[in-house]
Amino acid sequence: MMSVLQVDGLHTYFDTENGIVRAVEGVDFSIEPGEIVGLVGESGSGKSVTASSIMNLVERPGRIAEGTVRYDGQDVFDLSKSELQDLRGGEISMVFQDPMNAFNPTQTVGRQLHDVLRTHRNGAVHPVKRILGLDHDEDCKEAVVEMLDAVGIPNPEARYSDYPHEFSGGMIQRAMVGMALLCDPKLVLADEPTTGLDVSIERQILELFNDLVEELNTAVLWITHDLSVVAKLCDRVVVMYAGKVMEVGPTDVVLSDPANPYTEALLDSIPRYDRPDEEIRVIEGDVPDPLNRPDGCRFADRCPKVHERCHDAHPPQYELGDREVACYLAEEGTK
Amino acid sequence: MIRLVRYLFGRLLWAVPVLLGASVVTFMIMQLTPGDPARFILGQRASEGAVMELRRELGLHQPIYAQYVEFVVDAAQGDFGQSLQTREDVMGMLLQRLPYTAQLSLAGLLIAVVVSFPVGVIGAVQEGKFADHVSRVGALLGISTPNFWLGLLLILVFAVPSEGFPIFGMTLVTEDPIDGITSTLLPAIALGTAQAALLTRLLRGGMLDELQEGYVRTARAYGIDERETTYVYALKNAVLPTITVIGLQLGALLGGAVIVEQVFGIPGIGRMAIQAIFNKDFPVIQGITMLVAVAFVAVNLLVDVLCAQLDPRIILGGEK
Ligand SMILES: Nc1ncnc2c1ncn2[C@@H]1O[C@H](COP(=O)(O)OP(=O)(O)O)[C@@H](O)[C@H]1O
Ligand SMILES: [Mg+2]
Repeated sequence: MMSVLQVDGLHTYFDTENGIVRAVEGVDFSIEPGEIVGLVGESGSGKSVTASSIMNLVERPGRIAEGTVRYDGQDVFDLSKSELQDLRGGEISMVFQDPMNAFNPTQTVGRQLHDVLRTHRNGAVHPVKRILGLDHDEDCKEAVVEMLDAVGIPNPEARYSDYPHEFSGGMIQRAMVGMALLCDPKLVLADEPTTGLDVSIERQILELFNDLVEELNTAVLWITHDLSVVAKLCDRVVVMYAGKVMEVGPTDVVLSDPANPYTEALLDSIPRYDRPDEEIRVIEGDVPDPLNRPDGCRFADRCPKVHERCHDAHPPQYELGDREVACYLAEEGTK
Repeated sequence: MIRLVRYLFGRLLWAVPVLLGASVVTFMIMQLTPGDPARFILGQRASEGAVMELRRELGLHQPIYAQYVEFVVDAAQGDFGQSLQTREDVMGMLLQRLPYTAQLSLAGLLIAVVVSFPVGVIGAVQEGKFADHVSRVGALLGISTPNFWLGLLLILVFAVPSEGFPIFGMTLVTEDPIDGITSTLLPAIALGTAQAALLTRLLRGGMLDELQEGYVRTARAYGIDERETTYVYALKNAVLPTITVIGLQLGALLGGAVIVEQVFGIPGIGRMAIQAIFNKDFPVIQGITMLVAVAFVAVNLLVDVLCAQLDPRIILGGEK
């Protein structure tokens, strides 16, 4: 079976005044149909940039320096502009963190979902036609109302005409999820979709995702810095640090027996009680400055199990059972 | 709808203290003259009898609070007394001159909007490219060109050599549409250029900000056409603050009109104001000041209505 998504050797850089920020420096992983894969790592490790790279959304001053992203076997970076527009929202869609910000404050939520569906069904329209509302499509509206209902927004017919500021945090995130699922995508990239929501709403959104994904067989990349969410939701997990993948494998194996000291440190930093307002305990030391990263293993300076050789070069990916681990300790395990 | 009405009622209530404040300032114009206002108006050589008579006419013999109450009551009925110079009714003079200033200001504003919207938006969309540089240099020139100089230049370059544009005066469009337009075009350009430049900058900046917003990123991530995102979503949001500024700029526009009316010999409120100031014609000055205050309140009320129509967040904010 062909993977829905295959990321190989992805490098995404930002050319800033202070130098080149290597936000993503060699990321490989794949997602199978219907699979939920977690992408975890401390903030600044390059998760969001990875997600935008997958949709070829990286903008100036950023650029894809190297690597390929294959969606259904096709290289995303080779697509024409119109093919890319069909892909975005139609085949792959994104759920953004802070959905209140992701919606236009002066258009109704329903209208914004309508515009997405209308674009993918009927194509783009001239701006004047859109301003005059002549692009309105009753079938699209109906489908949007159905979707608002499916994601659990009460009274969807009336909510269609409400503006984003009239939605609560949980409801607007549901609308965002609805937007992501509107065109039956094969892959949803969810970038910290529950960060900032309280625990009960987070649980509802997780359940919603679980159900819908199961029903539609949609694959999901669930981006988070919270391993407890990964444990609840994901089949496999990709652990990222400072632009590199540190460990990839089935969730239960990785979380119960981490092979990379970084994964271990992340696990230790999960709060003991489910307290959403408590920040996760920070790992000793700082995330390396993205402009000035160490030559050796990116985690060497903070690693409790650091060796001499860790400072020479970042370790390659070692295969260890059904996972891949970027740590010299894992090399001994493979022998 | 009910919320909109309630919001507008709130805005209307605001107009009351604003206009009362304006009336105090207007009333004080005469009171703050050094010494006796009647003597100040008539000059040192006037006879004591003439000064006494003027004092009675202006009501200066009454206590100051009584004078103010009388002023407000009269002003509310549109009665500002007679011009000391011509003995004409001040309100009648204002109504006769107002159409000229209104025509000039509206035409200037129209030119400003028609020029600034495309130029500002294209500047933002083409940021850093040739069109953007042209729009920015143009805006800088427009802002730094004095309107009287531009007016004289337009007269010399267009009006003097051609029969098409009059050098002096203005015809109302209600009297003769063709003459009305040709006689308004040059003064309106002189008046509108600075406004056009200001609005161009504002729109360019507003569009650049909007294009950085999360909803633009969302639209892109969902394959929505770039033109729709720019000219429907972002443009609407960038226009909102611009409308507010247009309302607030009314003062600058009228200030410009005073000069432009002078340069082009237009019999509007601005020319009337200058004459009244030279003649120390206080009733006329007071009438003009109150008229400007009323116009300011009315225009900004209109702006509030427009913004409330376009931006759903405003009414909510107004209620809190
Ligand atoms: N537009 C940008 N310009 C410069 N650097 C950027 C830009 N966007 C992201 N980065 C850098 O890329 C790195 C990874 O960012 P990000 O992917 O957002 O991290 P995460 O989502 O894991 O928290 C960070 O160091 C950040 O500073
Ligand atoms: Mg992020």
